Amino acid sequence: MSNDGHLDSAELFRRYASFVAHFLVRMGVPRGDIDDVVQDVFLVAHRNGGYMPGPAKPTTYLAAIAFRAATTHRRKGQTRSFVKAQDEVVERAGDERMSPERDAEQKRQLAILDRALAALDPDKRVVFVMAELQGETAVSIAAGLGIPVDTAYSRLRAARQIFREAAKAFMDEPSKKSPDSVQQRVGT
Amino acid sequence: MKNPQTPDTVSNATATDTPMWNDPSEPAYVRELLHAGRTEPLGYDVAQGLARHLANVQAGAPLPDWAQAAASAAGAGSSAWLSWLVLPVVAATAATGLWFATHAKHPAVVQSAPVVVAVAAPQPSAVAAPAPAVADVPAAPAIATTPAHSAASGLFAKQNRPAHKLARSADGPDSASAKQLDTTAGSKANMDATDRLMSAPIASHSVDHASAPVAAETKTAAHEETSAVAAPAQKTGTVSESRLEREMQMLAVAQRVLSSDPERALRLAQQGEREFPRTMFSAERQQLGLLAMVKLGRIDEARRIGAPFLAKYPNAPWSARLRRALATGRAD
Repeated sequence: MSNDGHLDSAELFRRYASFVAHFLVRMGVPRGDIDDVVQDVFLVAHRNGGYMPGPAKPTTYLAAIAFRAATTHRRKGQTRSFVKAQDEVVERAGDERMSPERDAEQKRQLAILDRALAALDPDKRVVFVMAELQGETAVSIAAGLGIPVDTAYSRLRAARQIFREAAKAFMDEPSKKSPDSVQQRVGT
Repeated sequence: MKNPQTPDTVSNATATDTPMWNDPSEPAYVRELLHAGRTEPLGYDVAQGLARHLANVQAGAPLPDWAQAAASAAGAGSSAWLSWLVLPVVAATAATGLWFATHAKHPAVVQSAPVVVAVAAPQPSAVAAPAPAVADVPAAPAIATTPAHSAASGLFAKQNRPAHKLARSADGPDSASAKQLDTTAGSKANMDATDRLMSAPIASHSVDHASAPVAAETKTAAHEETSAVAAPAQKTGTVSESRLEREMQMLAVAQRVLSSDPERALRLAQQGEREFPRTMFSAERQQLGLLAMVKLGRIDEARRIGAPFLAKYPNAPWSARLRRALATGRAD
């Protein structure tokens, strides 16, 4: 890092690659594709000259790039069924060091989390993920995405409400149904 | 979340000050889900990823398609982080070009593909240069009520405008215009050959109800909308560009007036479906028409058309919103 706060892409990668990877997962990029998309994000950051201090923090600067990458990637990947993609996420989630019971519970929670996040439209999802899962402030999120701060807040409020309802619907689900059938309930 | 820099948003800050995962007033399951997401051991190998990144940089790896034009715009002087807001436009343009190249039978339309591909090339001039033929399209009174939608300005010219203006000009501060373009580009994936919406519910609806007052008005107004924007040229390489621009303008206006004038929004959706059947924007346009129906109180009709539509597009970016609207009878 130079004295002026500039971070080149290699330094950004060292510091924030994990952040970007988590962000991409929560934005719906399949785990098997994460490294490819992470590479795209940092390649773009490199071509942009790295990070220069400004209204956006390095994290929100990268998240704004990753948002575009995730959105594009998801469109390309929509030939896969939603259920298959979600199952893949569940199967790969978890920590091998955990007990089987805890591992299963975490998989279940992560599956529900991702399905509830999928109930959000991309504009709300990105704000929600950055705020609630990655601890960014609305000011920094707004700066990174190039939207007014009030808009960031209003999207976050709306996203929270939708997330609550979706999470409740999925948690109440007695057995695994198709995501669409549960999302129907979310809308009611 | 703390928001010390914006005293004018104190009420907002109060409403969102505490993260949900740490807010005792939130249901336990919400906090647990978010905690699971925050602490998930993803196990991404940073060292290995960094090695690959450095190799990519050293080898001069090309930018991903979605970033090429934006990088050019940024290189031409745009703010780098703002430039991401124009990406949906570029993505929609490139995707449309590919779609025309692979699906359209008219040879003149096929010729448009190289033009659109050139947009995605990383030369700044490819983005900076306005498309001359687009400038020949007369301004559209109905659409030109929004300054940003002067049909005389080409799509590429718009890309050179500050991104925040592009995002706000049509639909207000919520960047709905950019969102509109974003979601319409998203419907490209839904236009897979095996999954394309072969019938147009909204258009079918307008035929089914041709004698209804609204439908009759639609016919008249549709003529007005049609005459408002000159039909695009048919023999140049910019055919798809001008058609795309017109189609996008109609969509953007329909989106903008959805709340204030749902009747017009529905009319524009129907008109768009008749004029641009089975394009990459069809699904987006039809969901807009369904939302307009809900707003007009035509709930049963919207549900009847919307049920198979949602079954076909269960996970599009707008599906959840439409599903809620059909379920509650209220479009947010």
